[in-house]
Amino acid sequence: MATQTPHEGELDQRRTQAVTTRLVSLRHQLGILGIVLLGLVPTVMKPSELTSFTFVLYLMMFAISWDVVSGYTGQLSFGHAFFFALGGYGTSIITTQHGLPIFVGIVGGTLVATIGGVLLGVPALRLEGPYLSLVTLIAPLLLYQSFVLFSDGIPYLAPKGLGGTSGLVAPPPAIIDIGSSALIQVDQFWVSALGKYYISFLALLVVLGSTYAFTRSSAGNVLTAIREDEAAVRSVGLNPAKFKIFAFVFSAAVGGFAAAVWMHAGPTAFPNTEAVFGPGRIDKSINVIIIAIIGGMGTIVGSVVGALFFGFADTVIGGLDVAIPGVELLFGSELTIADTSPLPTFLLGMIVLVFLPRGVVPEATEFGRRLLARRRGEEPPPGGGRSPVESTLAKYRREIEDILGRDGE
Amino acid sequence: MVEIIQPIITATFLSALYAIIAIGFTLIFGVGGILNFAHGAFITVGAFGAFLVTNSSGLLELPIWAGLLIGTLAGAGIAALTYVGVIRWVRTRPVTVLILTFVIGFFLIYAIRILSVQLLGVNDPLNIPVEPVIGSSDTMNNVFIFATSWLFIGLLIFFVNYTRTGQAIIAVSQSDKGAALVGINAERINLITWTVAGAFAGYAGVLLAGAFGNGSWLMSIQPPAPLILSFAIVILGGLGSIKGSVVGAYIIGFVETFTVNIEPQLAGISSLGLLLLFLLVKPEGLFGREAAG
Amino acid sequence: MSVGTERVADVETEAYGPEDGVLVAQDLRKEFGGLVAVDDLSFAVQSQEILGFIGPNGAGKSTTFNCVTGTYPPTGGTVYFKGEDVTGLPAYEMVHKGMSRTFQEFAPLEDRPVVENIELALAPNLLFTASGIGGETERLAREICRRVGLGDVMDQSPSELPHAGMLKQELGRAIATQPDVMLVDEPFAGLAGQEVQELTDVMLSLRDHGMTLIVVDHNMRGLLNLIDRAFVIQFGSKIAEGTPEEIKNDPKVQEAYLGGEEI
Repeated sequence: MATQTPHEGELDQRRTQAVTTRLVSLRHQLGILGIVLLGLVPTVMKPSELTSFTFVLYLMMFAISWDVVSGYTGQLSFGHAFFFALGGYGTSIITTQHGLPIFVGIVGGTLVATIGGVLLGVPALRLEGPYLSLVTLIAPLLLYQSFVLFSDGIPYLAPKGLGGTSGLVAPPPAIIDIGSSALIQVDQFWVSALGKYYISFLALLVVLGSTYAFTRSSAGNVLTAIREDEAAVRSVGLNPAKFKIFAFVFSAAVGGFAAAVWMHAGPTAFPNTEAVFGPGRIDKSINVIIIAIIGGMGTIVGSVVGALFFGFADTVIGGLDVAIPGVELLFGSELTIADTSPLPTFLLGMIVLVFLPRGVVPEATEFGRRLLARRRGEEPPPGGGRSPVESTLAKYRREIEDILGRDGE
Repeated sequence: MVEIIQPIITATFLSALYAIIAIGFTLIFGVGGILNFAHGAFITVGAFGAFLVTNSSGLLELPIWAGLLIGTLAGAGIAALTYVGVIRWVRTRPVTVLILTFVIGFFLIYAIRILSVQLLGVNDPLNIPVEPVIGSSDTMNNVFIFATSWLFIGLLIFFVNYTRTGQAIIAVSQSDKGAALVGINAERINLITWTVAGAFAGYAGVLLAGAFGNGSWLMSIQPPAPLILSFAIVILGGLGSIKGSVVGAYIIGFVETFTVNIEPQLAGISSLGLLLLFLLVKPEGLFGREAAG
Repeated sequence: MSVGTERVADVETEAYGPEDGVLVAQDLRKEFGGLVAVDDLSFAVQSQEILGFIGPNGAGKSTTFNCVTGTYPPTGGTVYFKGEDVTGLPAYEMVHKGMSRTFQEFAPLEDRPVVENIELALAPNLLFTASGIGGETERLAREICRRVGLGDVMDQSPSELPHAGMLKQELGRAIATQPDVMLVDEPFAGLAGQEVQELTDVMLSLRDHGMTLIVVDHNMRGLLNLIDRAFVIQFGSKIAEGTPEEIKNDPKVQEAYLGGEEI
């Protein structure tokens, strides 16, 4: 290779370019195919299955919301449920306590969450790394406490109160449902399930479209550059503060919007603390992080794939009625794998974090690129070499040997 | 008179316990640069460990003294395991570590919830019974908590300042590379730090659960939320400073106790407000190094 | 000739007005704690000039330019840019005014190829923009890469670039912000003869297109064919100013470099 002539070098490069171009278009084709397939899901599922799958669409949106700020700008948020709660409670109060139409509720809920985004975005300018993470972690806990504090009502804003931990008594009206309170009343379960799915799907398309356009514009490049090096951003005449705040606000709006739609069209959506924060008060926030990380941070598409993984894993694990051996001996009663939910998903998240830190989508893209090159009978494009998994494993091994050596000292 | 004296006593002994928790948190940060979100879970593990060996629903029915010992060991063990099994492999990737400690913490408390409810027949995972160490009176229990907490704080300060290992801990906290140059094994120092921090958390967990009447799978984040309080404490005192943690614990402990005394619903809110204020105005804390951007 | 250099010995009293050059510093001062890094320095840079800003290591060159380009505000003094008082403006505002710089300790964004590093500099400081979606900026970025001599390697990761390539990338990044005045920090450090010539040509052609350049370096090596005028500082104060030839023969400069470094 050292004696390569310039001409050959150029040729190599052109080949690499051709492969890259082809892969990009292939990626777009795959993306469109994926969306079409998602749109066709109702044709293969029973209405009850469809209802639980509908929730996966919301997981996608929630994870995308996290990805926009944490995956792109690297400002880690540990309390994204803050925005989901604001959006969900916002629309519920607007529709049930102020009697306004659903459409107003969704817009209002999104706005409330957006204001929350400003509240978190401003400290984000002053605080970095661990300090910012602390603030984001505390924000939903404070909100949780204030739901309890104002359970009996806030004058004018929420005259009937926030309902404490058990949530708002009156459920927000559904866009489509069997009952009489729904906007569109139907008389069959499958029609309602189908309607809910497509409304949710539409919301997902809105979220995907807006986040995709934003992150693929120059502004998206600036966000990832902030993640890499803020000084570099400043040095080319870009104001990082503006972009950082906006990332928070945009992310909050996306999360709030998703949660607001969820209240009116989603399955098992109730404006209570368990639904918006999770039973462990922070676990909803953790789940979106795990989803985005499994799929690949800073890719948007990763969140979609991650949510599919997550939903799939949940379903599979939920169906595993197999007793874990040995448990009965120790505790006297048996424990099935299904009973351990959500531990397996947490475990999956940890494994991905340690071994596939880039996530499934970027790894698959890399793999696809190399496969494509190989099939055309060429050297893998540069950067191929050792995959992160291999490197991490090698590191793992080296360090174990290191310790063993040390112990011998 | 009594209305004032009672909260002062409560605040005095609780603050000592908060200090113990916060010191562990700050030690891990000071030495390894890791903000350990799983620290709250170590508290819960301690309380759960005590429950396991002292309750008829648990595995054994030993006296609570043994529970305190087992809880402390459980905290130390789980912390050491977290470090050796996971954290040390990804130590060079701070973002990964931050998220991992978060996930590990939730993994642990969910495991406790599942064990309690599915296997041990605890009806309410928010109510895992743990007795106070000195059951005869609240006062005696408080005195015990106060005395032993200060004993441990004193021992730790002595250990850090006057032993070779303690000096090595300080060296590593100042410079990883520098410490390596003089032959200090940073890996071992980190492990010691995690173990000590875990032991402190486990010990505090048993006593906290006893003082409040019961443990809970969410005990680290539901009021008074010791995990969140210890964030507030270490930010107030300055991340990485032991002295700062003790001072911060007393400030937060008193603020918390007095606001709860006035309005129980404000539990957790006043100190969080104080924390937010500090984060925005003086993020490096009272005794901290410049660490905020 | 020596008359000129002697005259500059008492330049401390010299005063510049906002219109005396495209970039003017008047009594610029920067203190860190009790340490004076820049000691009431005054200078003026003329339009389309290539000025060498020279001084031994630790003379205060970087601090001076960090103050001028807004990395941090000066303790005292005034900076005029195109006749306007710009003292203490943040770095990104200075870029908008038309001043950009390269960095000695370049930290390219390792997560993207060279061309996308350049592309970032072309991004508008706007949140909502269609820029970048149509591929216009990419074409422009590729053109800039070719102009600074990175045409063959622009799709590689910056971490694969040799030292000279990194310098070129820094130059490209600064050019992409379309500056009127560009500050180049140690462009020739660690470069061989051929590479020095390439970069010199790039900078000369930039000047021909109307740009003003300030080249910061700790000695004159490689600068003789490039700069019109040199400005030498030590301990944060000016010690000489003149053509490269004048500077070489200046006794004060020779004394400053007596410690062993070559001027």
